[in-house]
This record gives sequence, C-alpha cells and structure tokens, in this order.
Amino acid sequence: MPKVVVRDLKKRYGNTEAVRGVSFEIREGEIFGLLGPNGAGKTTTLECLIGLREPDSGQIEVCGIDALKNPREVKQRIGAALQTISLQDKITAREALALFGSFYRLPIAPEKLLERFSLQEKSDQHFDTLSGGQKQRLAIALAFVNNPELIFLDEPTTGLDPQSRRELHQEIAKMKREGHTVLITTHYMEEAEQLCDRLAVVDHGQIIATGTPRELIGRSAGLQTVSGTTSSPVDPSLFAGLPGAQDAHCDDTAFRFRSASANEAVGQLLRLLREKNIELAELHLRKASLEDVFIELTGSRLRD
Amino acid sequence: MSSFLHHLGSTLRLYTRNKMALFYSYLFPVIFLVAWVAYYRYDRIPLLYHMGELLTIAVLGGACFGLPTSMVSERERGVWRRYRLAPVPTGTLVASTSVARYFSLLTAGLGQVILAIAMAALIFWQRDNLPASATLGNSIPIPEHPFQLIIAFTFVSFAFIGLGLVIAVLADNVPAVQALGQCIFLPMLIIGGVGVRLSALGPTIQHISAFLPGRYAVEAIQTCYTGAGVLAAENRFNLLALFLIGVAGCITGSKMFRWDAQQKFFQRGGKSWIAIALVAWLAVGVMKERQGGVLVTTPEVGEQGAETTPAATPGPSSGALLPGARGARGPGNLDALKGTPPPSPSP
Repeated sequence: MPKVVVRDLKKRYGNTEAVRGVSFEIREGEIFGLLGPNGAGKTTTLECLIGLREPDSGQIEVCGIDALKNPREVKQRIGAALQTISLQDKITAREALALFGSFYRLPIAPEKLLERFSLQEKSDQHFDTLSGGQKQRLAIALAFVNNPELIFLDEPTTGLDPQSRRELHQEIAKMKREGHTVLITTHYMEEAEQLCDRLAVVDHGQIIATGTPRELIGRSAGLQTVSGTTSSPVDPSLFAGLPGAQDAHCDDTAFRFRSASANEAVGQLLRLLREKNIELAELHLRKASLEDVFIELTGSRLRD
Repeated sequence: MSSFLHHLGSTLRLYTRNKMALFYSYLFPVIFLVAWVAYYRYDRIPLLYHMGELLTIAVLGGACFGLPTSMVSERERGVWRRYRLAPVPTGTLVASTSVARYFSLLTAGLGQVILAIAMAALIFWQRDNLPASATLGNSIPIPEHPFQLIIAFTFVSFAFIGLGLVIAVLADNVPAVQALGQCIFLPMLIIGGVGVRLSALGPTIQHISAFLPGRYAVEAIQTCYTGAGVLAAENRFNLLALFLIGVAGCITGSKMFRWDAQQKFFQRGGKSWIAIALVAWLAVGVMKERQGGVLVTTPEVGEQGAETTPAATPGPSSGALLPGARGARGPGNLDALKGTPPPSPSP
C-alpha cells in the first residue's frame, strides 16, 4: 500500500495557480523527491500534504488516512522539517525537543534525539547561538520526536556548507535504512540524483515527469553534453552545423551544446577550429544528467 | 493537558529570557508608578486612590503590548507555523500562551502593589516624620478586600488579554502591534478613565468612556482598595463588562488566529469576526448607559487627604472612587467621613 497518495491537487494564491492538478504516489520505505526550480510548486504541494495549507481541490491520503478530513491524526504519524528553521531565539535544543515531544502520543526522549543528531554538546545552548548546520540538525531532530512513519523535508540542504550538506545526506540515507519513508523537495540536481529512489519533476505547478533518476536520464534521448573553452571567441553559427547539435550556447570563449552523436560532432568541431586557427583550451564530454533531462522536459534551465 | 502544561512552562521560561516582554510587563508600569507617586505624594495615603489606575496600566501594557508583540514576533519568525505541524489544537496553544501571560501580569501586579506600599511608606515617613510602627497600617495603600482584588485583577487581565489576542490577529508585524496598541492604550488612558480621572472629563467624554473597558477595569480594582469590593451588588457590573469584553476578544482572537506571517490580514477572509469584539464594547456601553451612573460629577474624594470630604454623590458603580470603609481607617479620615451621604446614582 502506498504511504502517500495525491490526486489532482490544486492550490491557487489569488490569480496565481501554484499547484495545477498534481498527482503522485509514494511507496513505503522509499525516498521520493520533488525536483524543480524555485516557484515550481514543490513547497506548496508539500505544505498541503502536511496540513500547513488547505488545497482548493484534490485528494490527499497519508499513511492510509484522508489528510483533509483527519489532519490531526496524520500529524501524529508524520514529521516535517520546513525550509526555514523557526524556533524562539532563547529556547534550548533540549527544551525544544521536550516541548514538541509533549504534543505527540508516543514521543522519543530528548536525550536519544540529542545523541542521534550529535547535539549533546549544544543541548543547553540557546537556539540563536547554534550554527546553520546545528540548527538544521535540530530541525530534523524535531521532525523525529514522534518516531514518524513518514518524514517530509523541504529543501533541507539549502544554505548549508558542503560539510553540513554531506552530513545531512548521510542522515537522510540512514532514515531510509531504518525503514522510514521520506519525501524531500530540492532544486539541487545532484542531491536528487544521489538520494532519491524516485523523483517527480515539477514545473509551473505541474508534474512533468516521474521515475527513478536512471529512468529519467534514460529518457533524455541519449544526448550527451559537450562543453569547452577556446583561445578566442567563436561564432555561434559554427555549432549549428555540427552533427546532431542542439541547445548550443556561447559566452565569449566558452561554449556548450548537446548532441546525440557527440563523438562525430567533436571530431568536426576540432576540424572547424583548426581551419579557423582557433585553439581549443578545454573540452568536456559527459553523459546526460538530470539537469539535461529537465532542460529537455521544460525547454529551460533550472532557475535557482 | 500535557501539551498545555508543557507549552505553558516553556512560554513562561522563555518569557523570563525575553527583554522586551520583561520591559512591557515590569518596567513599563513602574514608570507610571513613579509618575503617579510624583503627582500624588501629598495624598493622605499616597497612591491609595490610584491603585485602580496603576494596576490597569500594568495589565494594559502586558496584555495589549506584551502579549501581541511576542505572538506576532513568533509568528513572523515562523514559530507558530512550526507549532501548526504538531497535532495539537489551536485553542490549547492560545490558551497556554494566555495563561502564561496572566501569570506574568499577576507577578507584575503584585510587584506594583508591593512597590506602591514601599513608596507610600517612604513618602509618609519622610513627609510626616512619624515612627513607622505607629502609623504604617494607616499610611500605605493596602486593599480593603484583598481576595476580591485577585478576582478583579483576573477579570481585568482576561478582558485585556482578549484585547491583546485581537491586536495579534489584526497586526501583520511588530510595528503594527505598537501602532494598534497605542490606538487602544492612549484613548483608554486619556478618555477612558485610566490615566485621567473621570471627574476631570466632560460629560460627553464620560459617556464615551462607558464604551471603553479601561473604565470598568479601574473601577473593579479600585473598589477592592477603597470601596465595597467588586463583588458588592453595585460593583458587579464591572465584572460583567470585563467578562463580556474578554470573551468577545478571545472568540475573535481564536477565530481569526493566524499561524503564518504570510497570511496578511487584509488578504484573508473571516474579517467579520472583528465585529464580535466591537459589539461587546458597544453592548457594554449601552448596558452601562441604561443602568445609569455613567457620569461622575464629583471631584474624587479622599485622595486629597483626610481634610477632603466628598462634595457630591457619584453613581453606584463609581463607588470604587469613594473612600468608603478604607478611607475611614485613620482617625482623621473617620472624622472627615462622618456625615458623608450614601452614594446615589447621578442622572
């Protein structure tokens, strides 16, 4: 039985349609990602699921419970870490865990959570003295106070330094090993590719593709990306004639294009550059990535 | 219940760590206390006839500024949004926040009472150069009905906490709380009988004051100091008025409660709940007008000292402003009050 079932979810803010008929399912024990640029509707979708916003229409079932009819029962079974970490400045980690634990039927002891999320040393420090990474760990510890079946993480690594981000990735992977189901929203391609079992690509309030990262990349028509730099600027029209070249971009001496026949295209590019006496400074060839898939699906680059 | 108690405990704990909250609850009323001491230091018993005003100001500051300021700043930070993720009803968290505020008001009020006694004693000893042991009991502002004072203070707190909840839902941000708070605080202070005595105001303003809760707050508290007590038949209307205003504020505050700073007041529905709070003020004013005794035509007595005798007869609900039993405590007062006519309603 799926842990989450969302059908035809719609949410509008004034004249803006933030979510336009989103439907998806999350299976038990998987990490499911909502991937898309800022403003795509990921957070609104997540907030409708966790009861922070009331959708205009649609159905939401979480852990087999109708989330729109029984939001409080759903909240007993889920944990969530929101995009912004929001606690009073002067509350300590231990106090926050005890307070939020008291809201649930079966809370986990603060000590256990402090230990699990490596916050023992900071347990009696005020929230405003914690670092960004420590605050984020506390936010996730708070999401765990009720030992939830399902965890919602809204862009959990945004704004974190690389080390904190790596630690958080390990923590999310651990959640999966422990049998938790996780829904994560992100606009980081590598994060989605690395962490998620399945993904839904969201743009302009709609899901435009769903599948495993491998499946999604496999749908990219085998396009490879060729990029590099030259000793002097190149006329962009040069790339138009290359075999299978698409989406060519030139910026001064840097260039980038995609091709289904990358080897052939590179060979011809080298010949043309030699004829024009332009030196090639750098050349990269890589297989399709999620970002390429996104560009293919939406016709635009990921917006930050 | 566990959620309520934990949140109550946490709110109280955080309250003691919040400088702004401490300022509004404890320092702000002390500023008024010091000013009142300066004004009324030559009263027979300094501050005795002004404890209603002072304690009302203490509650107003804590409930109409302190409570909404902390609620709105927490909402702006996203704390209430985080609470909303928990399976706990809105009412539980609002109730525990309000009860925490009540405790803080109670301690602030107690502080005011103790400080007033200390200051009055100091003035009396310095002014009259009398031995403390001989005169202390008749020289300091202590309530004639201490248990009824707690009841009156509780009703006053309830009414103004309700008002604070309404301000919290109306204000989109902390500066808006300050602006709205001033819109309520200043009229209450100037024309509501809190800062300026009703007898010093014209008849029209006194009629307007009947529609403001400050008047009932001052009278409810003051009658416990110098009158027949708030439970006396002629003073019970004050409790009813405060209760109605408090209930209406709590209903409006909880029905329009905003978890999220992104929910701007003018962009959301349900604004008609504001009418409940306004109707309560209106209803109380109309009831008071029908009951009579709105106009206080006498200069308030007693505060000028034992030499002053009441010259006129304020209405029954203005009994709080009369010296009554408390005024007769000293021998001088006893003489002065002889022949004082019983209060009767003014037209």
